[in-house]
Amino acid sequence: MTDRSQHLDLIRLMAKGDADGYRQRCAELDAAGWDGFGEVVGAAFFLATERAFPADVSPAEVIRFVAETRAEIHDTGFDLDPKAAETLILAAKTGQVEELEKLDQQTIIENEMLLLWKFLSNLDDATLTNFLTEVDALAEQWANE
Amino acid sequence: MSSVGDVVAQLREVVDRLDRTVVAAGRAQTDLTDGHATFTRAGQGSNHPKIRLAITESDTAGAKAGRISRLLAEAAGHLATYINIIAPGAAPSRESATHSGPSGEELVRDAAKRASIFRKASRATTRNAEQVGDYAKSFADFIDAVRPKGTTSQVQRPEAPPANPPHAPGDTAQSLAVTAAVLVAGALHLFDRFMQKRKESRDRPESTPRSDSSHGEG
Repeated sequence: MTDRSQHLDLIRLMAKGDADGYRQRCAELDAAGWDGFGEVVGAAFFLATERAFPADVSPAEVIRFVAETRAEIHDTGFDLDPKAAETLILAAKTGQVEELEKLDQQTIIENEMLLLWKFLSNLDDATLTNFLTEVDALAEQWANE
Repeated sequence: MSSVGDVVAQLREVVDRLDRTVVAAGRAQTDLTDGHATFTRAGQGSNHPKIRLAITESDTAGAKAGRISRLLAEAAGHLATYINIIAPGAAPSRESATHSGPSGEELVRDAAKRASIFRKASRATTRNAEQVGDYAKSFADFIDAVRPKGTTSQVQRPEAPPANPPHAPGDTAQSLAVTAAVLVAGALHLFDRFMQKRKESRDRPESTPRSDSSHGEG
């Protein structure tokens, strides 16, 4: 099984808002290499979406959620691409991926990370730890598919 | 005019949709049961009528969602049986028409299937490591901006989306009931059409000779 502890810890630091710890971990990953982090972010995003929305979530609910998130981060210098963010969430929940396949990798990773922050920033430590264990398992499964 | 094959295909589609709705109803039941447990915990030591009402109604909604799930599973089972009567072997055999809802395995399979589809479509396993790393590093600035240093514990955090559905329990049960009603109505309409066409096709051979004999008489 691949060791993803550094990648998972980076997501944990992001969720906890520990910018200094996050930068330090990034420096370590610069040395170790970023291979596999994109996969971990993808798995985390899928599971966080799964956790956050009901199976029958409507496009209107997703649009509202994305709009609220954009309002929260409007003064950070970062922003979601609303269409891409909605596409990512709906693709994860419905399995309808035609629109997702049209997005470029940079757009996907940017929107996934911003949405991940929104999904995870309120979790308590125990819930976050359990969540990251699930992410590790899914990323491992994906790596073996 | 539709052939028996067309009707069977349409009926099988209805069975498939009923099965999918059973899964959704099962999820709703699980969420409502969780919600009831949360309300019960939150309401410990309180006799406030609103809390008691929330506990009672979440319990009722969970029970109703379970009943909807069971009835939909029964309807799908009966339809599958009917399909096998008019076209033996056309519908997959079902373990039981009284199946009480999706199993844990079914739910896991559904999520695993979507996860796999998402993985491929989002190119999760083939992302350019350098590109991902560059963005991840720049993300530290976002963390700084969204939670200013020194105010970590005091900053009012935005509400994360609820783990349970944002729908009111009644909404979920109502939408499932509507879905079920639409599916059953569609199935009944198909039955009616099919039976009417069968009757017409049975009647036709009898009327044709009479028509021929009238020609003969004339």
